[in-house]
Amino acid sequence: MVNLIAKSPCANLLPRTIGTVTATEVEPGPVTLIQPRRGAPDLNLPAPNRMSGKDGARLLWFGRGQYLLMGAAPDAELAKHAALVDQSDGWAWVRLDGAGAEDVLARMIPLDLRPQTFKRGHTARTEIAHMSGSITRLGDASLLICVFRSMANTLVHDLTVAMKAVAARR
Amino acid sequence: MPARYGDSLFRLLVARAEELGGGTYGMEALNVLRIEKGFITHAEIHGRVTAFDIGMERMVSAKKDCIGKTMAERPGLSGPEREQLIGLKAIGPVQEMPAGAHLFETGAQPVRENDLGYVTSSGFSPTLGRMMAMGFLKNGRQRIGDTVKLVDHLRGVTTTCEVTQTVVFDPEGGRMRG
Repeated sequence: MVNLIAKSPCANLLPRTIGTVTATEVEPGPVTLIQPRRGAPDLNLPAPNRMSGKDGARLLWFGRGQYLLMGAAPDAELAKHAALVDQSDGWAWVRLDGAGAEDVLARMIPLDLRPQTFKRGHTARTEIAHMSGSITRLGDASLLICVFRSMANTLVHDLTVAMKAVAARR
Repeated sequence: MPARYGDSLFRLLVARAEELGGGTYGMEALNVLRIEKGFITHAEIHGRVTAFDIGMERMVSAKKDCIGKTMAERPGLSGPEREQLIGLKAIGPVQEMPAGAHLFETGAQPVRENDLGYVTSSGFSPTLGRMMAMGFLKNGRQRIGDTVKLVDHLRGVTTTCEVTQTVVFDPEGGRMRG
């Protein structure tokens, strides 16, 4: 058997700090899309636009009737009540930290991301620089975004342009 | 194969292929290979041709009905008036046969009224050491061996071509079937 080298979506692209904002790749471990079947019992899933859990095992609302489990493999029992799809290699995850992270993302995402509106634990499916993705607030100045893995390079490019523009205005 | 190993797998496959004298190839190489074998693509089956035009009318079952069969049997959609798929080989000093060029009788004026067909695909074959092309020519299957004039009004190319079979490399298929 051959030894293949694993490569993360943003390898050689991140981390990158411009001004006060740092973009870092997040490798969440196992990622599973959960789609509960009709008539499934209460699975204690997060409400729409909300995240539950924390580092190690997060559960993101990921669109109507869809949830994303990150950082832990689902219990095998769950397959009785929901369709489970392994998406561990499907998404490129980037965390944005630092003062002005919202200002950077305001140039890429058409949502009100101010902390008083988009609070810790809030999540949304949205477009990120015209790419389909998701955004979640992890902390006061910490946001997690993702796009399709194949678009990692474009995401980092557009992030860099936005980070430079925000830094130049400070 | 999880996507995280894609980069590594590709490099490994290329390295193994190069050990055997192979390697990667691109779309242009693929295009050259398929023209050599007379394999058609969207350039030929562009929506205005019938199975008859590409010489595949015998693949339409005579016993069973199918979508498009009634239309295909209408007068004017088969016969010697149709432009039929052929190969082209330049026989003058100009070897270029650009796709989009039109075909005329050698003595005829290259004007719309005299148009006999057009070139659909063209490329250089390293195996044959020459340019090759495919196209449609009025009553083309009865004209194999004839000489026609090729004129590309847009690029200003004029040349003389011999009409050939569409398959110019290994027409018996011996390499494929062993």
